[in-house]
Amino acid sequence: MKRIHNYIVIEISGWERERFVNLCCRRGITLYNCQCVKETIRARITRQDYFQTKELRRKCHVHIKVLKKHDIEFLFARYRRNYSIIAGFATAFVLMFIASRFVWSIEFDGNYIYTDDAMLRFLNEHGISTGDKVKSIDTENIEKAIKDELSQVTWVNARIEGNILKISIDESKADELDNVNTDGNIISGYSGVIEYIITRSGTPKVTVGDEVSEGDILVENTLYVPDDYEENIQEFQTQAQADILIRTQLTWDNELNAIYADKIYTGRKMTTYAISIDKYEISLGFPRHLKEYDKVVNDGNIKIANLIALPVSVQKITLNEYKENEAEYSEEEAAAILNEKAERFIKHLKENEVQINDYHVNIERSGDKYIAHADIDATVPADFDVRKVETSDE
Amino acid sequence: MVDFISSGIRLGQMCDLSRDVVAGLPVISMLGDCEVFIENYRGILEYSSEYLKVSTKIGNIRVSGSNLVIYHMNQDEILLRGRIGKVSLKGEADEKDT
Repeated sequence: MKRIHNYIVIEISGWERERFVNLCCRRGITLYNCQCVKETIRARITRQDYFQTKELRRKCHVHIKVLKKHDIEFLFARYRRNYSIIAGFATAFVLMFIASRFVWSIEFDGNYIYTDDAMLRFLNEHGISTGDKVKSIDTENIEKAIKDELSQVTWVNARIEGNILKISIDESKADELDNVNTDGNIISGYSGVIEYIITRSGTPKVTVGDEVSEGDILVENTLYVPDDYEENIQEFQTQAQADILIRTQLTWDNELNAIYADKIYTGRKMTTYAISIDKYEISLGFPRHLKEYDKVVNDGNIKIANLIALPVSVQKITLNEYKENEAEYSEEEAAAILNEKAERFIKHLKENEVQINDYHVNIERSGDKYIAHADIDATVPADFDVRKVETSDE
Repeated sequence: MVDFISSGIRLGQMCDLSRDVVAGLPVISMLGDCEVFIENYRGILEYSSEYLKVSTKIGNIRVSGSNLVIYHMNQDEILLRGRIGKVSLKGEADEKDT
């Protein structure tokens, strides 16, 4: 059964209501939702069918009253003389058409190490920002620049959907130590004991159980191939490749100021809104009566069908008032914070395939600081860079 | 008319055709006590929110209940919704049930 969306609600009154309804059906006029209300019949009918009932109304001597009109054509007819609405629609379409020629939104996806702000700064340095023409954006150049200059990006895809520049990237968890020197050897980044070595290419210089120091060559890039008589040894240059695990001692240091400014939130909040057009912002409220506050901003471009971003974004600004109070960490509190940081560092190491054999955290107070030092007995891949984990932990 | 209907039914059975199509018999379908669907009707004789009488080839069909609304109606079929109390078929007698 067809469901109609554009219809007129009519009220049929008169002696021969049923006859009128029968004649409508005979003529192919469909009536929907007929209800008997007192001495009348209310029904829904399409606009075209309504105009066909003129003759039948006269024939059956019934009176038809139009109660409601649910038809977009009536809406257009009602406002057909309202030129300001037409002008408004036309202006909106023209502005939208012009706005769609420029990029007003840049979105990033898959970035965890590089924040959105960092990526935007990177693009700005390469001359790409919001407000640029869509045609002037070369996505291939963007992909090349990101791949060449951001070392932890392993894959990048830049595309324009509508007028939104979308950049998807894939990052590696930790960068490999640059310990394969220009000659192609694998060099140890740590001092320790070799626990595991499998050489895929090159000549290994160490075996399991050997003690190595930082900077020692573990796998040489030269292949020594003797002939059948084992007299003449030929040398072939190759890129050394191997999986090597070294048991070593890692250290971790961190400090915490004993005296800190404690924020005590009073519970008072203020919500204001702001409209930003490209780089200009118009505030719609003022942070009255709040001396010190935290500001949380949620903003987003206005988009049409998620494809066309307009150069207007609405920001919702929430201000949370607080009072600053000077406080001092007790020994237990400082120990808890520093231990938590140490645990997080250990967790990052484990996520990067480092095997933790044992660790010990030592915390002591020195003046107005608490200093934490951890000795970690770990088995690390020879090409693992612990500095990247420390950076990401901060 | 009865002979025509019965011969129509027999013809339909022989040719494996639907009897309501061949003989023009009304088809009444009910969904619980809230919906009645009548096909092959001729016209509405009476209609109110408690009572509906339609004429068909075999006589009049009466539907009584409360809050009866003709949800959809065209030349061949009529869908009635509401609280259906009684559906009756009567040959020649024409009584309104209250």
